[in-house]
Amino acid sequence: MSRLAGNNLRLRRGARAILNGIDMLVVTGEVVGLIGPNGAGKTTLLRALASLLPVDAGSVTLDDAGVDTLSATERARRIAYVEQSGTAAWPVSVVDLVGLGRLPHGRGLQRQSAADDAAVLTAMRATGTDALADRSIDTLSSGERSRVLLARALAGRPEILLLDEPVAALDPAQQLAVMELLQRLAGEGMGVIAVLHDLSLASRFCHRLVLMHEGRVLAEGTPDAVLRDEHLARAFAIQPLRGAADGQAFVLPWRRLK
Amino acid sequence: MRAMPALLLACAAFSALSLCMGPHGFAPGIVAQALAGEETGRLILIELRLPRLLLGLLVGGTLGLAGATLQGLFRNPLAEPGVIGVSGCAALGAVIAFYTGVSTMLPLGLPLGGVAGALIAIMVLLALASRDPRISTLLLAGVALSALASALTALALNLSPNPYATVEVVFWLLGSLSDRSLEHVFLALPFILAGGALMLACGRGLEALTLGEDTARSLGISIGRLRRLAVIGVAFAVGASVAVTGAIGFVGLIVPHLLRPLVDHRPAPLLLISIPGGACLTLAADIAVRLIGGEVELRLGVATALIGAPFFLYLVLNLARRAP
Amino acid sequence: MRRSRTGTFLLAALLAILSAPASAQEKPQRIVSLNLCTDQLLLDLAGRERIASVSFLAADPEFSAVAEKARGVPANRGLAEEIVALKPDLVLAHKYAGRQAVAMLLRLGVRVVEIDLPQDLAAVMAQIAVVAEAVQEQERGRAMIAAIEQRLAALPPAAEPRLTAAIYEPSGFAFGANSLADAILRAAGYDNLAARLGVGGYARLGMENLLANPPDILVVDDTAADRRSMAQEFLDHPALRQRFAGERRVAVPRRLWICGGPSVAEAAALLAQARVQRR
Repeated sequence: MSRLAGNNLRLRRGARAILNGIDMLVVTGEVVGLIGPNGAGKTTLLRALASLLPVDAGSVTLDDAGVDTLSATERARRIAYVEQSGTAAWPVSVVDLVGLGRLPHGRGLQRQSAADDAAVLTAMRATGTDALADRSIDTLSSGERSRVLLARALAGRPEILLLDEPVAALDPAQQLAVMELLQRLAGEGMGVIAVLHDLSLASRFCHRLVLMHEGRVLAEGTPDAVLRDEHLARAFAIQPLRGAADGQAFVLPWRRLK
Repeated sequence: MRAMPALLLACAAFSALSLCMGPHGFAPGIVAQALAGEETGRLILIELRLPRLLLGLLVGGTLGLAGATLQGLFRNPLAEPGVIGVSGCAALGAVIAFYTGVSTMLPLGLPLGGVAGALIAIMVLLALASRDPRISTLLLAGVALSALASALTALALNLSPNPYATVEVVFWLLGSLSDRSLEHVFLALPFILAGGALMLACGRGLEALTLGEDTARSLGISIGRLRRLAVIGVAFAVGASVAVTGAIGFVGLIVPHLLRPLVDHRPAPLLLISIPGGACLTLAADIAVRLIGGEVELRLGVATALIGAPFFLYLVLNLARRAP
Repeated sequence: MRRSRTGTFLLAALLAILSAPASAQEKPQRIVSLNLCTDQLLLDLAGRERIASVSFLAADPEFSAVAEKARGVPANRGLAEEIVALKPDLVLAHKYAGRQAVAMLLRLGVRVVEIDLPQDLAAVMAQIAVVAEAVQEQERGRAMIAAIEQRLAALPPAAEPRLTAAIYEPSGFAFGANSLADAILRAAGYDNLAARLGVGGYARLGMENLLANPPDILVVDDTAADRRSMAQEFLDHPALRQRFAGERRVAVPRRLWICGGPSVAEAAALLAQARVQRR
């Protein structure tokens, strides 16, 4: 079991504290939803956890060892990161793009090993992109592209998966498919942090939620504990509509508060 | 990579043809004379046509590879040593080294001057690109750098005490392979080989960079190291090339663009295949200028610009259409 | 040959008279020369005190055979404004250079005497006479012509078949038929290879062409090697160095064959000497 933790992370940009002493944890086997209004610092936190952004203070640890003690390759093998609305500079084919996920595993530039091929195929099947294998990335719809970029991250078979708004560009069916996939991946032993804007998806599919507001963690815990009225009022200035189906509670943003 | 054997074959064919070209067109008699052991033939083949061929291969390969490297690094199909001002600054560096006599005092002064000029240009561009990654910014900065470099080159030549220097701005800005010697080949060779090796080592990094800097770094690629490799590699190879043949434009633009579909648009194999591609295009252009003839030969850069500039326009229009 | 020389003489004298009908007797006191070739004749023929200015090239030892004499003489770059400011009473110019300055000087009523590019030795003599006449130093002019003719007459006679030679200039330019350098080569007892290869006047002769049709002697100015240029470096090409090694490469300073004047005889003497050594 692996655990990725951000400990008391702080980052200032000028007078503004973007991360103001944040603790964040994900362990293998769980899907953690990172929610909060725009500008709360979600993407910054995710990038800090992925070692893409130096922080002013605090540390990121993987299994209690600082990630900076790992080699870049080792880190890349264990932690995958998918940026928000990522694009490809060149119209490469889907199978080649997913294959880039094998780079940390020393994939040769010309030839992929059988293990590489197997990992790429598994990742494409899991994301339902195997039928697109030979298509060029710039011919895909934005939903297809999101799933391909997710497949790219899965191809590296990481322990921890960091996703910045993985369902933003997807239609409802695809959103459900991706969230189900994340749950399945967690069940197979991956730890997932996903930045989400959709509170109903967050409440349904995440094991835990972390609600960020103005660079701090406003609330953390089970969806029920985090999505309380006073938290939503403070963070989003909304009043939710609550319901239940199939024995599961869900939350919908319903009314703006003045 | 399926195209590699065909490109190598084309290179060999152009090489053979290049050796058979006299200054006024096809003249294969010299090769026969040289093979028969005749002195005049040997002299012309070994001391005139061979250096011309070798420089065409080396410099053409360099420009193709540098174009592919810069396009991958800037994630921009319009990046090219000439267009973004790297060649112009290399020419300025070489001009300063040559006309001040540094190149006579220092054995490698000439290529080092070109390398220094190229290095400064790419550093400036990278600094700009990191602040504002838009394609237009890069191109406009390149235009400004090119204009500045050619103005300073003309100024340096004007200040030279030698009255011939003033007209030599044409050589430096448009390039030529004619009447170069094996000395020029040996002068540039170590820098071109070293720079080429550094650029080829960028393959993995450029592949990862297809998905942007953040994703590349999350894949374990050090962007800083990748930049250093690419910048020093391009500066070494292009700087030394320009120092011995002048700035030959557009090869680095045309070649990677034409070859990209043949390698499924992947940056790493594109690097490798752009070497014979650049060599082929440069040799073909150099054969063309000799076919056109004239006592004072057409500059090679004129020939490559005649193909390259319309091509560049086409690319700009195409990109504008794709990203409204 | 003799008849054409006399003809040119007469024509030149006529031209000189036509361009200066009024003040033939008065010696001009503020003479300005716009061109390297008139510079040199002027510095040789007229007293230093009557020379107001010569061109900037006159003091450049690479191009001027009288660079020493030009030292201290105000230099000009042939711009109309600077010439007018000198208030010259005689301007010597070349037919193919500084046309705008000359046009303005003529409008201002300044007396201008122009010379042409000499294409043979007779034209050189005629030119000397024209300039001597213009500066009112006819006696010195006649002496100069006599000295040149004497020196040319004393050259060792040409041996048949003649050796071939080419004067090879930076960037691979050569002097062909109808050029002063061609006349000098012939006077020195050579066949001019460039003329035989069809080069007319001053034109490019490619290195490959030269190597394929090598002259017995390659004449190159190696004195300017310290002033770097691609053009000069061209003459250092290993192929030329190999093909024309030792006595086959003769160094003659460029300044001796650019303009008509006493330097012509010196160039011919150096070339004839090289020919004798080579035989």
